[in-house]
Amino acid sequence: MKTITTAHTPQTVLDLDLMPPSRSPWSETWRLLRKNRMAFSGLVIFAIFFIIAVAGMLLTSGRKPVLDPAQVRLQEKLRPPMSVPIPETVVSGTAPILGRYLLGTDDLGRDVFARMLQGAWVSLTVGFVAVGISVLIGIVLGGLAGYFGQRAIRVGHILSWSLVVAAPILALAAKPLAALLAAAGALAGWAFYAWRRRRRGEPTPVLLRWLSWTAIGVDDLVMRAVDIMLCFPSFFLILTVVALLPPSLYTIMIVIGLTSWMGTTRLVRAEFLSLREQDFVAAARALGLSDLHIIFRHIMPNALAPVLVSATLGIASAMLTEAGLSFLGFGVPPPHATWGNILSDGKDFIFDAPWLTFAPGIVILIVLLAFNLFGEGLRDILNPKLRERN
Amino acid sequence: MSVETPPILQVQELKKSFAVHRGFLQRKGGSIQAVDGVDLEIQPHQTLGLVGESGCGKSTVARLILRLLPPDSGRIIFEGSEITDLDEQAFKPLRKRIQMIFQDPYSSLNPRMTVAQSIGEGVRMAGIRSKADQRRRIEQLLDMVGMPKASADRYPHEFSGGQRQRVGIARALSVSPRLILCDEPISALDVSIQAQIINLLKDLQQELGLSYLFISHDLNVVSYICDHVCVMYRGQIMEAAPAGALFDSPCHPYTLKLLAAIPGSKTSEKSKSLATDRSSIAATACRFGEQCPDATAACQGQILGLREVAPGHFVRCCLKNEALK
Repeated sequence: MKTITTAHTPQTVLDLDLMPPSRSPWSETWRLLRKNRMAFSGLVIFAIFFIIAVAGMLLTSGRKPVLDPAQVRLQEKLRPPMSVPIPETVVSGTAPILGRYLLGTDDLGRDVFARMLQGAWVSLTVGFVAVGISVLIGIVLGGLAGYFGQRAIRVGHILSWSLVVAAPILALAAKPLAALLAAAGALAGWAFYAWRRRRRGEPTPVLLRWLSWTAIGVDDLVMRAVDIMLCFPSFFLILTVVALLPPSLYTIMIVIGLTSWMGTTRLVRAEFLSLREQDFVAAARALGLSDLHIIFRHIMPNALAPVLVSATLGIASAMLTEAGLSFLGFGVPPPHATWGNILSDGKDFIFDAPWLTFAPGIVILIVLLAFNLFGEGLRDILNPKLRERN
Repeated sequence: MSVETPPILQVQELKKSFAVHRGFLQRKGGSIQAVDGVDLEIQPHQTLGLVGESGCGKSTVARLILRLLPPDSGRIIFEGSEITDLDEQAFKPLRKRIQMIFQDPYSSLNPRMTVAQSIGEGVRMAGIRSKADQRRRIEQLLDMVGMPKASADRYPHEFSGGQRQRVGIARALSVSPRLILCDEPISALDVSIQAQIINLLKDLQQELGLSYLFISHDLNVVSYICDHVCVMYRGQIMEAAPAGALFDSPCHPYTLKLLAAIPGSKTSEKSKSLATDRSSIAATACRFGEQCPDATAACQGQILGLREVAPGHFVRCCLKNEALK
């Protein structure tokens, strides 16, 4: 007891001059990233790849591209890398860059370097758009499951929402009476819940009580959906879907995105579950801040670190999936070049023209390695436990 | 202290139980009665201490009062109006009048927000609109808790535990509350820092006329800061008394045991460890029965209520009832 009574509050408790300069979490991350050589080299390779892909898209597209990946020169087929074109065969304006076929030509005499450039843009967009789709779905579903997971979806909810969906469909199917009935039912459901909200605590009439039966919890619904999606071998699921849909770059992106959101969902849910119980969230609730404010200002910024890591690794795997699909002939349709179909075309000439196989193969290897190194490094850097040590 | 002034907070028969899920299919496997009929009263400008061992329901009481958890039953009356049945919308204006200080200064501040941003949320909730006024208020709050103004733009990870706790206090003060629930605010801090925080809380109480619910398991601190003390065990109040009376003439065997456990106290003795058995017990049986050194056959099957043994001094123990008769 005595130790406490003799103590006193000093005027200020710290001398800011003695503290190291202030660092925001992001500048701290940048500092650690530069210290982690593997991750930093991954980032540098990624930056180079990004620049090349953008430059490649600009150079190889348009009506009269600087480098035309589709230019066929049958006299020049299967020329090795660094070979100089035969002057007589060059059509004016279609000369390869630097006057040489940097990576040789393929069996139709197309410039492999130009085709690789065109493929880089495909890989980049497929990686980013597919992962963007899957991260978006993952954050929304994972956030719902983590933050509102305890809420119940009741029989009445399912009924009224299916009526809401059914009404316009029936209207489009030219069944006006059924559509009206469905709309009326949906309205009645909405009225029921409004009435319930206004008179909380009062018992519901026995006849309507079945509407309040819990069908399934939000968390259960989302997580079981994840489990079901994980049951499918995803590459074969993608193959099936792609075989049914018209082949195009966008189909590939969307299908890869729609079949790879499960990991992110689980991650985000886990982060939300643990962050929701933190004291700073309780403090925010005590201040009277809204759920949306708490989710976007307090929980989301703290939950994004692992998502960023898994997204980085996800980009690599999406690129690989695209290359695999193109290799099997289910990817982006020819004549558009992608790394996968260059590889696929080259496999017939692997002994005569190994550069057709090695050029895309090695580039895929390097880019994927860079992404994985960067992702792994990011995981170490963003992990607060490892962070304290540096 | 005048007894006639209405209490700022009254808690009556507050109950909360948590369901325990067991097994593969998450069947309900019984429940734990965390708070089982707690009554509290906090007078304006005073401090009520709530002591008890880990897991006895102290923090749950605070979270129920703040409505971070919904109570099963009971009434919570704040400044004369009942807040138990208000929905979130109606309770929102009252939120500003009750605030909380947390135990762990490391998890109570958002690591991705600067001190100014954390406190600023409260300042905005308090209705200060212009950026310049907000900034002035934030600096004033930091000054009140003894932090330099320049710390506003730093992140929590740059401060020590005691400094973070000060920021947490500043955040709680940002909405000008009348009542602050202190959930073991010093138990995660060094002893020297503990004293600073305690004295800061006392100074703030005097300056701003705050009331505190001070939750702790440290009886030394409680005796120093509190006007009234409630001793809790397994979700029930065992003894409630003015601080002086509780420490001078403790009545309940559990209080005696707690006092004996203070290191260096005169009555310190080797006592058996108080392993809490969470299996549910009969509603009528004495919660402390199995641990009580004085338990007799008479303790079984009696309905136990709080009895007044001296003015303002309540005890829940059948032995004391017998003694009174």
